[in-house]
Amino acid sequence: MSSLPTETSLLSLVDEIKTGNRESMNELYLSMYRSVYHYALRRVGVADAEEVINDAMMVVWKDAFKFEGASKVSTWIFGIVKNLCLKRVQHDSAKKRESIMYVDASDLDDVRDNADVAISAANLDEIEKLVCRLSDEHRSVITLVAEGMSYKEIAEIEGCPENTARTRVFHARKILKRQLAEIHTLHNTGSYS
Amino acid sequence: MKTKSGANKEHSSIIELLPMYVNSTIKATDRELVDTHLQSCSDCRKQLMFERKLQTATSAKIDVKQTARRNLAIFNSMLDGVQEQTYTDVARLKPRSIRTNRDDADTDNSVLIWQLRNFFGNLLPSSAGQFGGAIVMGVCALLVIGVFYKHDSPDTNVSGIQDSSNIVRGCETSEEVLQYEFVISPTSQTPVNVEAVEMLLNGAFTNSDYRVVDSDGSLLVTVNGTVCDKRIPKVTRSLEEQESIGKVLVRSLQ
Repeated sequence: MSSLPTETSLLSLVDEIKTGNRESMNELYLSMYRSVYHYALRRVGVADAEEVINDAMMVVWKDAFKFEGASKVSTWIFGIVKNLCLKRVQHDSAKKRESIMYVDASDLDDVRDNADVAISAANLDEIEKLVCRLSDEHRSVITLVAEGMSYKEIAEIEGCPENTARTRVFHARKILKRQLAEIHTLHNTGSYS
Repeated sequence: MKTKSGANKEHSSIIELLPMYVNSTIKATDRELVDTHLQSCSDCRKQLMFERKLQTATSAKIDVKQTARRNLAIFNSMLDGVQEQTYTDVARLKPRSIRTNRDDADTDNSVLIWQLRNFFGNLLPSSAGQFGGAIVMGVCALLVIGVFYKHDSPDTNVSGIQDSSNIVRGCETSEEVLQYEFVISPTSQTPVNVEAVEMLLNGAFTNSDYRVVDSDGSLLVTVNGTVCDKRIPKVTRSLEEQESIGKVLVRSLQ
């Protein structure tokens, strides 16, 4: 699923960036762009994603010398992007946030039977739309899994314990399955368009 | 034979592993567990199908080559802008005599200046940090230039770097150039005093005789020999970080 560059190549780029090498900075920018853009897109939307990436890359440029390899380079960069996305979201107007319908993980029924059929029938665009309706945290973990992150890396990026990351991933999927089941039911009754 | 609760527990743990199974970050031992379980569990096979569908739907499939190039150009202009601003700040801070006589040195040390600006800028908070960082960087740039002036001195080598325990020790007391002493010592773990920079910025020392003194690991600011009222939160950096900066300094000067 993921097409992130190898850790070795990212590490050597960061080493060069530490010495002020702009060519390496450009290379790192291009090699990480697709993944971080996709992540930012899901968290802050198309209007802000590009700006968030440039801000994040500026942090990478300035803070490269602080990077000591305690985490993977990609995890470090995703963490920066995540923090900048959070700031954007926090500064969003209440109006904008209210326009997004979030689904709470609590009070979930067991929708397994209906969901199985719904999953078979669901197309990718349908799933994509439902992911966009999830809460910020759930959208984030779903995107990170698709970008090839492990639970440990997701926890590092999200700044939460690994078990919390596992729970978020689990709940995000459960919510999606419930929504697919609901849509499937509406399809069958002819009330979904 | 597995009990019902044991089977449920295994089922739950397999469900939890499926996202990592599909994105290939699962451990080899866990992968074997999943493979074995999938052979006998239709629920998990359905969940696996969902997981694959979900990850396919949510993985990046947009072609961003064009936008990446376009935004990279914007990013580079941002970098240029920040660097230009930095050079302007340095020029503003330098005494006239240096500005007129050492323009070439300025150019030669542009990379160093940028790196110093990055280094110190990050020690400081937000916008004050950026401005203050530029001030400190300016001071450091002066030190470097001051070191050039002292190039022939037997006590100072070209970069002011003496040994690993004293990476950067710039001391410029020439009346013509500067009237203060600024010391960066890795042994203090406190190379820069944030508030001192801010006070400098606010004109607290315009007249004069101030010192940034390294005292048992923390920095004090004294003006005319009197310790300033405010004690400043200590900004610490590891010895390794400072050594790294020292190496950059050496490379830049070579």
